[in-house]
Amino acid sequence: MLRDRFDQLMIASLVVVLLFAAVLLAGAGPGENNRAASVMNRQLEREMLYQARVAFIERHYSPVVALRNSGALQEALLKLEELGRTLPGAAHNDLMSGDILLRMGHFDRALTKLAAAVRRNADYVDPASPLSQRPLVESAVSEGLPLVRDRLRSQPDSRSLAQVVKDGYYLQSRLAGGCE
Amino acid sequence: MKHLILILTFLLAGAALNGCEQPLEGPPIRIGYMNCNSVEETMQRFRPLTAYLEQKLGRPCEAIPVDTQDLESRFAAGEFDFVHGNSLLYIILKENHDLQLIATEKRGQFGSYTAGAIIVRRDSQIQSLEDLRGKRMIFGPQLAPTGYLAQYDLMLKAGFDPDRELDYYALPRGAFKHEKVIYGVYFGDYDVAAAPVLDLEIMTREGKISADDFRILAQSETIPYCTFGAAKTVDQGLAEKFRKVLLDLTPEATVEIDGQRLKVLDAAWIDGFEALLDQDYDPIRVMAKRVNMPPYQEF
Amino acid sequence: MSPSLYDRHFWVILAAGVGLGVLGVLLAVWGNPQNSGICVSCFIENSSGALGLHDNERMQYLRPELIGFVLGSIFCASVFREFRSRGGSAPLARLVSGVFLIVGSAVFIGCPIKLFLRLTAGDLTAIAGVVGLFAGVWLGLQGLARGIDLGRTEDERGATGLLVPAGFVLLLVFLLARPAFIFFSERGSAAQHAPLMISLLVGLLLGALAQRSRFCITGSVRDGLLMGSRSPLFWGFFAFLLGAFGTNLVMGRFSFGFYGQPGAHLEHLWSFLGMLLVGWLSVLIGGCPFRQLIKAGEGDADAGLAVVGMLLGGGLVQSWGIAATAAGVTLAGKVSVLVGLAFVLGLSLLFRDRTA
Repeated sequence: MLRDRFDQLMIASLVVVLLFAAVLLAGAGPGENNRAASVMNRQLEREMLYQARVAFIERHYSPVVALRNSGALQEALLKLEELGRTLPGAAHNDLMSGDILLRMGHFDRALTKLAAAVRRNADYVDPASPLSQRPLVESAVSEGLPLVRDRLRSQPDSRSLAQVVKDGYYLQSRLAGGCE
Repeated sequence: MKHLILILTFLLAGAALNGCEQPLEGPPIRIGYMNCNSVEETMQRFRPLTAYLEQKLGRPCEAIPVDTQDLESRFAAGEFDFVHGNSLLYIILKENHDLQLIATEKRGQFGSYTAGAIIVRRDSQIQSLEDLRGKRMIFGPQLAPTGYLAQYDLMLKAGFDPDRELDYYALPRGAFKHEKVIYGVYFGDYDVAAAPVLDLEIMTREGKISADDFRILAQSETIPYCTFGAAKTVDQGLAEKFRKVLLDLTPEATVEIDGQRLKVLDAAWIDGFEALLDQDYDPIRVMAKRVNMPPYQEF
Repeated sequence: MSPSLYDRHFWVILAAGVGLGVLGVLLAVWGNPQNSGICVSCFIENSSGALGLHDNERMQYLRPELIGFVLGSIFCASVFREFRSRGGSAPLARLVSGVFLIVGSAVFIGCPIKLFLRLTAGDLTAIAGVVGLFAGVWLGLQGLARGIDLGRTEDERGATGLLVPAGFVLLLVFLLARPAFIFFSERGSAAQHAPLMISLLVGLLLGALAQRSRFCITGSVRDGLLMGSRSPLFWGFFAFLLGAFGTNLVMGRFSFGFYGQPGAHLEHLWSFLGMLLVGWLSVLIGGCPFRQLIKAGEGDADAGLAVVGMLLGGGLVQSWGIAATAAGVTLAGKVSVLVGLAFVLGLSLLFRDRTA
């Protein structure tokens, strides 16, 4: 290295280019580069979108929550049917159904609904999420799974019970954590 | 090489034969379907399922629509090998004619179970079963487990005798009886109605009523929904095969009817089938005894 | 004959095995996802997401352990004068292999290290993966014995072996400076992590130990199949299993059974095939995902390309829905594993030296 003028020229150019980049980086303001700014905003936008989603869910499902809390469980289920017309396939619909069915003592249906909800939105078992419903899912698994498993033992050829048990194991696995 | 060609020929022939439809053999299997609303509707719902059963069982199958009131007598006369009806009919046929339980239909939030509710308009002054004294009530058809039996039983259990304490009660006529019951209270013709929870659910889903239109005064425990049964004369092997076809049915299963490929479960308005046990029907037995209804009716 | 107890290298291998096992469990205790204290494929998926190669908001984090592995390796290789820029052996084939290493791992849900971390935590669903990995390594060995060779690695001028370590230095800068274009999950498994400095130090330590010892999981399985207990790596592997099992027991992380296991599914055939793919490919390209990182740190540009392929794969498995979850394996995942197997079979046909 540095044996001839060409090498020296290259080294000097390298230093100049690096210095130039460093100066650019050091002096760059937030509005200097629209592309970079838009990337920077993406995280913020993502968070805002998420918060908006949480608020949207809370607002739309508040009548169901109110009915559920007042003990009008069947009316709450009917309200969910009604909401299903405007929000078809919403994971939160399955979650609320699972919650209400669990309160009604329909463990098998509750497990199926909760598993469907968690499959579509893992936030429901994520302690870091404002949508987290871990205690609900935990109680469905701890109360429901042993009962359904016992029933499956007495009806080993029941495909639907086998599916419910599988749903229960899925929820158990999600509650246990691990990589997604 | 010669062996390879031979094996390939056999495999291809096997695949080709497998693709052909199996010829139907033996006497037809007669399946009685309880009419919910009309013969046309029953046939439209259950023809695809019957054709599917025919395909899977390799036997000709015949769908026979039958009125609820006639079902027991026609079954007793040996008109059906298999029968599809509500869970009270299952109990009646089980007790009186040794019907074998095959599978229970799944539909709605409670799957293979359903419930009966006593409903009033949201703005009604009626707050409890006590308040029903002297009021006008409409029930569903008399043999409906969640349109009549469950609600009648709820009232008796609460110490309220509908026969003596209501002003009067009515039963609807013709088709769409459960919808008529719900609309009856909605439009104010009656103060209170005996509505199957499943009908409330479906009408809400379809936008015919709103969840805010009604208040539920009381609701029964959940009991098994519509049920397939087999006559005691049906061969055990066939009954088992029939059950397996039903339990294995998935929403993706299709069948061709009049040149159209239809989804079997969608066409029949069914979510699937479940294998319940006869003892799961015991709550209906208890209700029927308390309400003094068939098959335990005493005069 | 067992390896000599007086051989210092043997003890380095044992230290690497025990370190990987114990720290692999402890990292989960300190905050990494359950049974995923160390999972190179999961970490690669997280890092790809952090770099914007996929947009799964729950899987974006520049895992310091990965950076530590590479930098620990280059540090150690430099100190012991083992750093050597080399490459030129079927570079594109290695890049694509890197992609499929992650595909196979993502369908199983874990790299070979995590496979055994899962097993030593009592997760019996990992058994299918273990069988698959052994079968894959065995198939790879059969291929090597019959002349499959990706070509000779040669010393390269121009220090190309520095490029991948330099890239990881840049990732370290990103991790510490947290520029806005690097994504960090706030929810999901990527949001679960041990404290940064602990992860980095553990990575550096294990990277250095793995560089000195040449220890890796598929390498141990390979040597175990070839030489049995005479292989030092076999004992390293045994130490790894013992370390992980003991730590899981002591830390109360042992849960025996098939069901309800963290980050596991019940589709055993696909667990088997996923790990079969990883084992087979690892033998052909000379190491599992962990070993590729270590070799990249030693200046092996071919391994560096496999690492680049792994990062690319990390993005693809998330973007294309290839990665399995506890709910099971997707159709895309199943097809991708089969395409991966077709790729290995193709490599085996195209790179076979039939002159011998």
